[in-house]
Amino acid sequence: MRKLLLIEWDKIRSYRAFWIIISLYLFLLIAAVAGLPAFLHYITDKINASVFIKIFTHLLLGFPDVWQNIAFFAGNRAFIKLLLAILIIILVSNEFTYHTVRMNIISGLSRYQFLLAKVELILAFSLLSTIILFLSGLYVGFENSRTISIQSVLGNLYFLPAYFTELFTYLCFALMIGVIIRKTGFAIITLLIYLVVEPIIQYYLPDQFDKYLPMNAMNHIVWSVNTTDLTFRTPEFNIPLQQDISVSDVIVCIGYAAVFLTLVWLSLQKKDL
Amino acid sequence: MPVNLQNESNPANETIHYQQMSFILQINGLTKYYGRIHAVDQFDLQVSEGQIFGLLGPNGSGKTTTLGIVLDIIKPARGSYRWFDAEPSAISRRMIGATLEQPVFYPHLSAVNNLRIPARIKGIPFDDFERVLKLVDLYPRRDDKFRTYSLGMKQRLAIASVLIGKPRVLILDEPTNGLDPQGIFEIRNLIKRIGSEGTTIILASHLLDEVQKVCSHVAVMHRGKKLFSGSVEEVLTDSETIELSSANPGALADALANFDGVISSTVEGRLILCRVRQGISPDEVNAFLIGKGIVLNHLRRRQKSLEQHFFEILQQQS
Repeated sequence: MRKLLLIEWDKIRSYRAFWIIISLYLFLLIAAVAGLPAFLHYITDKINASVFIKIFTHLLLGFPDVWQNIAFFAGNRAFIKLLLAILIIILVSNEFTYHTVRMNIISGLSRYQFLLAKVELILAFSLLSTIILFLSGLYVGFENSRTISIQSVLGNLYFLPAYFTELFTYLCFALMIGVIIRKTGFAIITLLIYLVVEPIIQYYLPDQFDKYLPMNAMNHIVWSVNTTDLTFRTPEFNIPLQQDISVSDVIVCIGYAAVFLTLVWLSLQKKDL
Repeated sequence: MPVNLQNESNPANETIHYQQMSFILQINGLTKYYGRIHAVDQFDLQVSEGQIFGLLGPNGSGKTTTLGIVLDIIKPARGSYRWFDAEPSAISRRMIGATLEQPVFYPHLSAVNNLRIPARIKGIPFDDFERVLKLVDLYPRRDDKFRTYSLGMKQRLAIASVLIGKPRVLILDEPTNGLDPQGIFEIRNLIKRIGSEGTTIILASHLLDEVQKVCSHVAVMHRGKKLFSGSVEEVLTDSETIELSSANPGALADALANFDGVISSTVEGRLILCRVRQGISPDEVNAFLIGKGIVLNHLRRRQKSLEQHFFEILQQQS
């Protein structure tokens, strides 16, 4: 485990494109979470309702709801984490473009270990993102909570592992595209096209199957914002909000990760490198 | 077959080791198609410990494909291979230093950082880098990025990378490609020296001259098939050419046609070149011609170069 990660680290540590993309990604991730209060402020200002800003930030960004709401925000399929998916595609398809995958195998890595190294890299990126989200969430939560207790800070913290699962599966999808398509440009375009194509498929699919489409399945673990402070349901204002994480949603998502990795494995095993 | 004992302090051990191991590399019936083209066709090969084995063939004859298969980056359609008399695995590849086709490295990494990757995979300490980089004259440029290298420098880094950790087997695919004459000379000497220290070397080349100068054994490949294999010495002497000349070339040619040991004869200027079976000496030819009343004014045995032999083999096939 450690050896494979060290090899991956040797490959990327003086790769400028890696540092540029990962910095941009982490900046966006931190800015998106820590900047949420400012964003809400901007919105309330625009609609001339700045008096509500305190209420909004308390409702959405106070403990324990902050975890669910930032996980929902950071987990959006075509937003912040798209950068990380592109980075994975670049790192993986470069190995084929420059034929360095051959160098790895010839030197004595098995094809399985080559795949394992990439999966470990994805796990590391997912873990890093989750930790960043946790720290930003702590900051935003403490800034915007009226009352703070251990229970409120730690309550709903399980939305972070949910975010981790989503992100990991999403990056496995990127890994699959990178390994199967092999050409960096084509692979990135394929990912972007798929992000557009899936909603179109969804449109023609019967509604009950919608949540089983890959991107939907990932985003269905955390599918809405929520606030426990207020249940604003009137006949006129009746938006269903997610209260809890459903185990079946998590299973579907992990199932997709398994499918993606199996396809990567088959492609690596069968094809010439 | 010469056996080089690597560990002179304990030759007995090495000998036993050698006897137990029949082949370093054994290839059986390897076949690979690219579409309808037979890139490798029922290819067999045996390489023993200590050989400098030349894999010789024109461009596109299947040399790189064969090496790619035994290094597990190309999947064969049929056939099998064994390394060190065992089923091939990632672990067995760690005892092999190999380059394939063009030098392959991470363009954004320096020479030293590029070497860290195979070294980590093989479990070789990084302090071996200085030795190998000095061997190929790249030490002063060790911290420059690979993409800034010239083709010759890339090739030399590829050779340095196969030498780290002193592997038991080296596979070199066109190792002098892109080098200047001085570099070619140095690399060939380096290969010979490493070979003389007991390392088994498999060298793929389309340059006959290179195989002739460097290798102890050779297999000739053409259109994916093995045409011939044996020791370089054998290839050089299995038939001989004798140059003859006399005042009456017509009578000489007629007489030669009746001589038993002659395979063929051709006219080259004033000379008649006569290919004779192995073991026929110029003396016998001369004695026969004297008996026929023909006096020679020129008689010489011509050593055949591998190149002639190679082209002969190719012509026989097509």
